[in-house]
Amino acid sequence: MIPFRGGWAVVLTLLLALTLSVTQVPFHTPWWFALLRPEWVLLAVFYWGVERPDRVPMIFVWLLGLVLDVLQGGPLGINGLCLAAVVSVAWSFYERIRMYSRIQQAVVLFFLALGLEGVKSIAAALVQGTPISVTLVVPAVITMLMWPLVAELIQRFTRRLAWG
Amino acid sequence: MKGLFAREASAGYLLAGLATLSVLLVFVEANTRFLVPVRSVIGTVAQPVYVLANVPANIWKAGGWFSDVVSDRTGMRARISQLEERVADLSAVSQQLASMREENNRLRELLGSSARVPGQRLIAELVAVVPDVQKHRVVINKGTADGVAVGAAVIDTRGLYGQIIETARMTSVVLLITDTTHAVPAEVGRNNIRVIAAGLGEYDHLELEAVPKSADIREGDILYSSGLGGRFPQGYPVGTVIEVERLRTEIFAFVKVRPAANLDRSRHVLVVSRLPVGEPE
Repeated sequence: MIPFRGGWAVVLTLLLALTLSVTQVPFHTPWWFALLRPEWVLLAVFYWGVERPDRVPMIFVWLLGLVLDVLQGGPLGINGLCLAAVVSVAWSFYERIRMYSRIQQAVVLFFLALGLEGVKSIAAALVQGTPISVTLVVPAVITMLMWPLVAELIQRFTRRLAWG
Repeated sequence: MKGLFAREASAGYLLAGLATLSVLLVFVEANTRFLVPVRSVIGTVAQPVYVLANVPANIWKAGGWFSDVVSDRTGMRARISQLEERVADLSAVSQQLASMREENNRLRELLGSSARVPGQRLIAELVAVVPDVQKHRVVINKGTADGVAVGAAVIDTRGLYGQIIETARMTSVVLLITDTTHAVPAEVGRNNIRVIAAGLGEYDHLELEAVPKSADIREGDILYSSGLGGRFPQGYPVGTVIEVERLRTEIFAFVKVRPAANLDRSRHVLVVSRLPVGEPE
């Protein structure tokens, strides 16, 4: 899929993120429970976009977004649009973002996640008529809080790889 | 990382292109049905992700996949005898049903109306739940390869469950009757008053739309699908009326219905097509 050494780490991380973003939530949890799901795919795409910008093709990420749209039952193209935008941000600012501490990176990610949630909500409101609610901030905050942990984990597990 | 700088210049164009394409997709999908097969193909490709994502839930659940694979002999025996009893019980009922259907059709013939043809049924298992609180959708393990078509009704052992809205090769997506975008034409069993039961996005109740305050609907009335929309087969239980409120300030009565189906518990459902062949599109 991505013709380079160590590419399987990227693919594997993204696949794991995709899986986590559709893991079943038990029916009888309170309604806000599902809000606590971070944007796993955004986390993974941001990590690889900043870490190895040369290894994350935008079109591949866009296609991944389409798959995510189908899995989550949203309008086709919305996740693709947002994730492609995240990749382009990563491509432009990866040197700067790499210098940041994990906390500062988390803040950047918060705004990206907020943008993604916002675009998703607007699209859902236009297409499916669901009202826009302020709760869209919650997944963005959760994504931000998850960043240091996720980034450290991916780094630990892929550090020993020999990059080409 | 030499290639990156050359790519950076074109990144803007690429993003603009993909963004345009995305917006186009959203518009085309909202207004036409061209993208239904596209979604179906992506769904087929992405199906393993769904299966993978539900492994922990299936292991966790009692009576789920894990206990299907590993279970003790006594438990299994008890379950088998329980199921045998149930089968015996149900076959006794269905013996009568066959003769009653014949009788009913004869009576309908006498009345000059056409006989009812039982549709086809297909047992399916839930493989995933769409992870969004706003959407009441589940994924079942039967798809176009098994003859499932968009628009087919889905029931569980107790009543109407939902309808198929998306199909992939091996799976399809069911919209539950409690989804906010869903409504079922129904009738009150006691007096055949026609109503529409709309979903509110909550698993434990539906609401009847535009019921006049003078309508004879009481608590405890059972609603059946009326088959009038042409999508659902007639005569499946939709739910029981649990609350009727007639406020002086409102034009319509407020009627709350508890769905008959086990919307949040069923693991097995039946896909029924109204017509024996083809789909009611």
